[in-house]
Amino acid sequence: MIRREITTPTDRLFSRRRFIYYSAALAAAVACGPAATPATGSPAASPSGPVQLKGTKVNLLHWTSFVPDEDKWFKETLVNDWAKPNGVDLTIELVAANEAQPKIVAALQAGGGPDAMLLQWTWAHLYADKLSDVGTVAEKVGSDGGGFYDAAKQNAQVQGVWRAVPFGITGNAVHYRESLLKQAGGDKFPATWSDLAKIGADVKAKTKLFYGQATGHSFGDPPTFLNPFLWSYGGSETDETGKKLAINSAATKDALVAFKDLFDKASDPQCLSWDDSSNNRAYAAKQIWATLNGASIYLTALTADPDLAKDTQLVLLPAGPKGQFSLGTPFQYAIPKYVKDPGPVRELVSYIMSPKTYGGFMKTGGKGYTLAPYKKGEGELWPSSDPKFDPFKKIGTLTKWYGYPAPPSPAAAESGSKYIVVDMFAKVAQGETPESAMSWAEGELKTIYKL
Amino acid sequence: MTATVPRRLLTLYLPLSLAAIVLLFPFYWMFITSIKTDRELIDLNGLPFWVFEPTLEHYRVLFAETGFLRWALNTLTISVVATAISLVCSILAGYALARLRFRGAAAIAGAIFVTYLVPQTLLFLPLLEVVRQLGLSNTLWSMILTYPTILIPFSTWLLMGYFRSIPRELEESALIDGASRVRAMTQIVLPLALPGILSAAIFAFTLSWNEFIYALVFTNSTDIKTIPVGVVTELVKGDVYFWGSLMAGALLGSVPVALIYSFFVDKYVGGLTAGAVKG
Amino acid sequence: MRAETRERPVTAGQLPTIGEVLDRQGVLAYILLLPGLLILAAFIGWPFITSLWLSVTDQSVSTSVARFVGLENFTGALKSQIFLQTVRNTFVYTGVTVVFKLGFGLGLAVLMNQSFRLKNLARAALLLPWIVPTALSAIAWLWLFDATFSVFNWAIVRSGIADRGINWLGEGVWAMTSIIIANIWRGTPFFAISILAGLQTVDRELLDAAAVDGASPWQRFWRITIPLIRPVVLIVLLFSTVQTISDFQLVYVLTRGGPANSTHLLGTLAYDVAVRAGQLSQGAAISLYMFPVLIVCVVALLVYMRRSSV
Repeated sequence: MIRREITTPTDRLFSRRRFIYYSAALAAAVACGPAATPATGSPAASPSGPVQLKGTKVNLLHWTSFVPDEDKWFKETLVNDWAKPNGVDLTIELVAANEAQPKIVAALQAGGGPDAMLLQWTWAHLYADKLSDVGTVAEKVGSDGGGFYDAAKQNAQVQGVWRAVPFGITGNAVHYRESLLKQAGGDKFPATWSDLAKIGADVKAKTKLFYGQATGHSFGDPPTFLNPFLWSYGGSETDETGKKLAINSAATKDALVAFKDLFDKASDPQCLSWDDSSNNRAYAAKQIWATLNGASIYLTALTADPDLAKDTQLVLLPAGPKGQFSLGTPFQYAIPKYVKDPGPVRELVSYIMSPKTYGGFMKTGGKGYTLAPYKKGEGELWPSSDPKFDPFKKIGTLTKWYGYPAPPSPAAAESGSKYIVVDMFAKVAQGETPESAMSWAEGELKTIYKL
Repeated sequence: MTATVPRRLLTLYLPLSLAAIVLLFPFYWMFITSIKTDRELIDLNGLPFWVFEPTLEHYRVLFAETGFLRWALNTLTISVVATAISLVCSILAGYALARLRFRGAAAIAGAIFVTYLVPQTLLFLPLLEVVRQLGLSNTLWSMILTYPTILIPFSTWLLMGYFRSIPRELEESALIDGASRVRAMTQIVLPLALPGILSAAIFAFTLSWNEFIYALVFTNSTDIKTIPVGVVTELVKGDVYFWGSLMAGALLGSVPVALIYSFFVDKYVGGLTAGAVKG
Repeated sequence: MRAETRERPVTAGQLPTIGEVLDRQGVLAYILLLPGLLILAAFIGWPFITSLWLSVTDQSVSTSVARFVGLENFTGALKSQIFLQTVRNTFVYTGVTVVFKLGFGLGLAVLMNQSFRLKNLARAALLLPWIVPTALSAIAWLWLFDATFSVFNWAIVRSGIADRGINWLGEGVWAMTSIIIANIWRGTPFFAISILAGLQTVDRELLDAAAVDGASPWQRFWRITIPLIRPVVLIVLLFSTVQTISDFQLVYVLTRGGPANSTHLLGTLAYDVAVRAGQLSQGAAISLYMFPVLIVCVVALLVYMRRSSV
């Protein structure tokens, strides 16, 4: 009697657990399916040799672009033009840029997940040992496309081995309101930072609108503005070898002093909290007269507010004493080593990156938002007849990478993800002295670079 | 008696309304945002507290262009099953720890609490390995089986507290009457602990409903996503937030649950009175 | 009554039965504990041991074979200003929010414990901040605190309180205040419902008896209600402290630790280091720094438990 009463609830529980495990196993089996079943039928023609495509499954992790047509291109065009005819079961997961990284890290660490993933920045250097060599694909794509830009190559190649295939660069340009600039007596957007501080102050005095630039913790706008700013004064985290810190220097100090001047005269303290999306909204609401951003601001205005779009002009960042710099956000396709049959994935990447396909992708509506990583992108593949996009053509050659002038490295990537340069500038904007901000940055970089 | 009305106003209605305004204002704001056109949303000249050209466009986007309904169904399934598993485990464990004398009780109670101390941000990477080994990744089971780890510690401790607050004598007299311990537990202690159990259920369900990191990392396709993960990963695109649809998703992902809770809250009070009558 | 009649005739023969009962309790206890412990062991035990191991190696996402480095990751963290600032932030954030959540939660629970029209609806409605997924409510707060579009600033400026709004997320102290406000908003309902459940187990007769004896409502509350609900309050307090110390989502959405690290918490910093920078071992070490504080909580709980069960 007693025994039965004691065991009844647990019995039920055990069978429930057993049920759970069985059904979980079943579900997993259904979900995974015959992933690598070799298919019969004729091999599809391909640039890198015959690969069995029919019956294979490919899971691609991609970022979701703000341009709806770019997402649609992946979900529809790519599936219809490539996957279906080749008999490939293609799953594309589109996730927000900030949410892609935890998924990628977790998959690499666990040794399973998507078959191809779109990396950002210098991530290929962070994950190099877990990514397979995609040299054959990358070399072919590069030569077909007229050669990769240096930055695209630097980000994807780790110690001479291609750990990823460059996918594209999201470039950025200063968007500004021509009418407001004219109101303050300027006729052309200033070509140097010191002129921008002067004219920015005039515009602010006349129109109450400021030059808005994010300096918070966000993956895009703050670093793509502040790193080129630092470089244009000759400052950098390390020297060209990456073996010696160079942040605590007269050049960095010049940059910080110049930034403080620009920030106080032409900008506004609220920018310290801005993330990537803030300037898009502020510009659309006519609260700022200029800002550095990807083409999304202009593209949105084209449909949402044609008058604003008409008044908007785009130029590259002003120059400092050491020249003009830019930092576009680079993207690359990587195939993790855990993928047992990388053939179909390579085929997919080759297909997307071939100039013909990529040209079609660029025309879908992104126009200049995502630039090709190779030179044909600014030439014959250029998608837009709107001359306002023209500055973006120069981004490919102008853009540098995290850690410049040294080659990209895991340490440079770590410093970027800890926002060391961004925070150094933010501290000065908040009133700290350049010296103290610099020595703070030096202290942090010492532990990061282990120097 | 006449004095009670202003008094009640001061001690009940006034503070209650104040609390309601503070706690619910963000929801009003979500609602307003979800029915504004993008143009009106960023219009700084108008009155932000009101909508002049309401639109259902953002809701249309949510339903027609994302898998919101699917996500809602997933979230519901996961939450219900994970809550059920957690409750069974917690009731059994909480009862054992509160009522039975055995060696190592304090140590086990402590160990259960310690598991709660391990932050999810530390755990999700190694946990994905376990989930993969079991062949569960990209299935609802990956969440159903891992969520109880967040839910059991609190529920167990909460229920321990409740079981303790029920006079031992009630149970002991039943035992002396010849009832078995299991019977004493199911027929005397459990009904009395009903408010606590409901409280633990609400807690567990809500946390499952809310969970983000595990759901983000363990899933690889739109069909398996939960509401928070789906909305955040698919409606923040590049440097553009789709505010209207985001807020619509937040509202639809919480108000129905609150409505369901309003029925439960009733039961939860009823459970108490029933227990009191029996006692 | 029935129990008494059956219990009376005590004989020596009953002694082994008592022993049997105790014996049964031990076995039964472990059977009852088994399911919960199994789940915890499988899905926390093993990953946690892996994390402990990680923290004493040089594992990054890229390294295939990790090297044992002792406590280097822990000492390395102490050298970083960002880490020290983060520890301070975490203490301030946890301390302030937990005190406010307890105060407001208690108040709200007492209010909700009274009877009034639409009580159930009101109770459920006030739970809303806690029900809505944090990932989404944090986005709503992001919009409320937006530098340009903050409705609070709109009200401040239009009502003439100040001629410019507050730089909510853009200035160190205000940014911390903002995340604290959002956390209190989110956490208060949880305190309220748990304490409310506790209040309902308080015997009304006890309170009525005290009232008859001339105790004021205030005295009744402090002398009778509070001691009776103390176990629930204590547990909620400790669990909330643990949750808040390891908070991640809110800060991740609102500021990502900015401006200039003034809102970084251990959870967000560990995430930045482990996931964004790929330094898994260092991230694990940073997370594990939460442990000393948390262990203090456990000890406090155990001491309390031992005291109350004797």
